[in-house]
Amino acid sequence: MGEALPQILEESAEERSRFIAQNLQRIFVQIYRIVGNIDDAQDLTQEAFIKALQRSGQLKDVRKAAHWLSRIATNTAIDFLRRNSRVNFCEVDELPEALRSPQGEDPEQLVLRDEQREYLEAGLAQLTVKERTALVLRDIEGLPAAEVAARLGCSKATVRSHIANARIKFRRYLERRKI
Amino acid sequence: MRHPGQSELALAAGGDLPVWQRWRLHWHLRACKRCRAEVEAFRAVGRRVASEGAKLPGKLNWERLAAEMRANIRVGLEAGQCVSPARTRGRNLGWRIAAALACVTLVIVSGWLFHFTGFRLRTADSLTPAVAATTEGIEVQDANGSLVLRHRSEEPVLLSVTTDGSMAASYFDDETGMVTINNVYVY
Repeated sequence: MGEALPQILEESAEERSRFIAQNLQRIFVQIYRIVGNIDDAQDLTQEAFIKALQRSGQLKDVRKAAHWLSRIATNTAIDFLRRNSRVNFCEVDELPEALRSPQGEDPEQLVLRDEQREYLEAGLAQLTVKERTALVLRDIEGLPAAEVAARLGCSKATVRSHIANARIKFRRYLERRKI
Repeated sequence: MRHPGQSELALAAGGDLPVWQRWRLHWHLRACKRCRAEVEAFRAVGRRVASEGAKLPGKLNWERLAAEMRANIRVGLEAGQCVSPARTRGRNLGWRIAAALACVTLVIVSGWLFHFTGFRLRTADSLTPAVAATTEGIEVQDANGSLVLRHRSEEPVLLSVTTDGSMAASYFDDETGMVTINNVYVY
């Protein structure tokens, strides 16, 4: 192998296209699971790739390129949520007794309306933005709780609360749908 | 028997409890079938989330969306290069470093010339006369020799120089008890 990845990415349009093709779907899904809608996920995916390719010179270890890109994607999505939803990831929500929807709709109606949607999307929609982000980073991305805390900029204890609440709500959701 | 809360069990399923809490729960789970089942239920949820979470959302035309994103990324990168070209910036940096080094070298060489080679703007063998301040007084120099107007005081002397070549020395005269000002003009 001749040149390092950052240099190749800077100089070769072909290599850039290959790098994008190899990672596009993974990064899109990762961002989509955090922000919860396709249009925002599309914009943020593009933004994440542009940021990453413009800063490819900062990448020291080529073997960590995928992880590095994921990190940029997660941070881009989290910044977006902070900006637009005014979410404070360091506040812990009370765990409600009954399952509720973020829009305040009747859970039964929501469940019926979501019959044709994938259960995971409907389940994630039951969670608050903080819980969903923590659950996605911990259970889908497989990051340790300490790293999730670092990315969200809050304590491990707070992140544990988000994760626990998310798992409890998601389990209740599955039990109600009897999936 | 006192059972742990749902939050604790949910965290235990993912291995997210702190060490001491994990250890305490471990002993409880050994004895409590019900809590073991709860933890296993949470584990099953975690597995489903992990396996389904990496899939694309339903009813999505991925090929069209991916093509659109690839095109937008390419346009974004090209626009970024126009606004802030990283390569040009790199080249400019080289020029700036070279210019800064040249300036520093010039200052060092000039300092060395003035301080260590005895180079003076006005020397004794200059054709035009010049004035200079010495420890004794104001000295007038030309090609033929020099003349010193001495200060008559041990007190500190205030010296001033003008651009037309004159020099003035002000000091407190011990003998007269007055301030004396000596002006020396050179034409």
